[in-house]
Amino acid sequence: MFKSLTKIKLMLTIGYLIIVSLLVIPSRFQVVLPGDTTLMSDQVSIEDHTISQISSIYVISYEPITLFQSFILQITQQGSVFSPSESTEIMTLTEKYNAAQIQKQSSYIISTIVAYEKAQKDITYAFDGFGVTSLINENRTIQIGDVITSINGIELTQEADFTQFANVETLTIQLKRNNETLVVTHERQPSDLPLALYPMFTLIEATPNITFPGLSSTIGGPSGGVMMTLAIYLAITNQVYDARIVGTGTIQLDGSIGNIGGLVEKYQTVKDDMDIMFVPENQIHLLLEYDDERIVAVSSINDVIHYLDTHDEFMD
Amino acid sequence: MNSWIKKIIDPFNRYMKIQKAFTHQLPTKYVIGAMIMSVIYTLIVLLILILVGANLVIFIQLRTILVMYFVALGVLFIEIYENMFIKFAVKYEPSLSKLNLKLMIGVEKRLLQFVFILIYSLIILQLGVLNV
Repeated sequence: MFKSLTKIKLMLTIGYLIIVSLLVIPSRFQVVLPGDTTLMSDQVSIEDHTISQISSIYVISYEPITLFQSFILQITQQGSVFSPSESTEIMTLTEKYNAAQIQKQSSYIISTIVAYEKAQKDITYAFDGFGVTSLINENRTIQIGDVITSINGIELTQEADFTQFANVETLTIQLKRNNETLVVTHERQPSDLPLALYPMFTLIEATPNITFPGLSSTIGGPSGGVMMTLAIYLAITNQVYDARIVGTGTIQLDGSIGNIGGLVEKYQTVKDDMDIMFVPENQIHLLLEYDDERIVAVSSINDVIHYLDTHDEFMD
Repeated sequence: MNSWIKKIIDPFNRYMKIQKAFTHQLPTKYVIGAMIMSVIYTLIVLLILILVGANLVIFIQLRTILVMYFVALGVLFIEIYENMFIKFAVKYEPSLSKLNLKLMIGVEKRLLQFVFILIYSLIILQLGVLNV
């Protein structure tokens, strides 16, 4: 009797430990899951102007997932599970967060420049350099958040051509780190990872005055660029839309729209609550299976504005 | 004294008396020992439930349910903790069993649970979890 009780206790303990292990042991995978929308009116504020009901979409990116999470994701068939890239694997959680915030900051300022110039409003800005959002290697000679201003004595402009440094063995990089100017030297190694850089600008003056309360939010990344540009443009040209307009895509200084990650999950996030969804033209194939007429493929901010101009049923 | 005031004050006085006797009879090192043991025991009992909740946090559509789930877990945590605390305390000092510990534990449990829910609600409201 005593022996069998001990046996049961031992089996229960082993079972308990197995369940706890499944709940805590990390796998090598990352998951992207449907998230939520971010209202542009919470992100940007323009003096004496109203922001339309325009939203960008964010997804939940989580790594590493546990074995239990992996099991649940397989059963529910939710999200995309994949191995994280080498460059994200070597970054700490804080570095990833900071990188996403730099991308957002760069994206919001570029959106403002594009929207104001398109609306022919006064805007003055200065180019600061290129913000670093990934690591070359684990040595961290160049860190997340550094703003590179020149390489090998060549001052970088916003149109800088980085291919000129492709075969250079030693890079002498001038950068700004925590308001200090530093010069660092990097010897190229075959194992080096590609560096992700985002152009950084300082907004000197804009009329009407614009502020970004959303910069302090924890949601980061560059994919809200196109919707931010649209929201600012419509506001400063006094156009108000009543429709639930959502979209995703990065914005470049020339107004072109770039690709983003997690497009399918972003669609799943908003599919039940939207009238129009703008997506980058290069990625429309990812959503073809949904056959949704509300999805509009666009390659530039001009395409977005043209679409709205020709569909005035959404106008307030 | 009015009878309804008496009805409120009497149990409170009794609680204070028991509480005083309890802390008088149980040395501080045993109080701390009982607290640590109770926390460890409660964590072992609830660990799987806590971890399941933490694992499900990635599903944003479950956030409201998870907030309620964690409130329930918090209330349950206090329930188990208080019961175990008394059990361990009596184990260290058997003479405590003569006191009406049922009343003491009842009052303390409700107080702790009230404070927990209050703090939790304030944090949630501050973070805007339910308003997103």
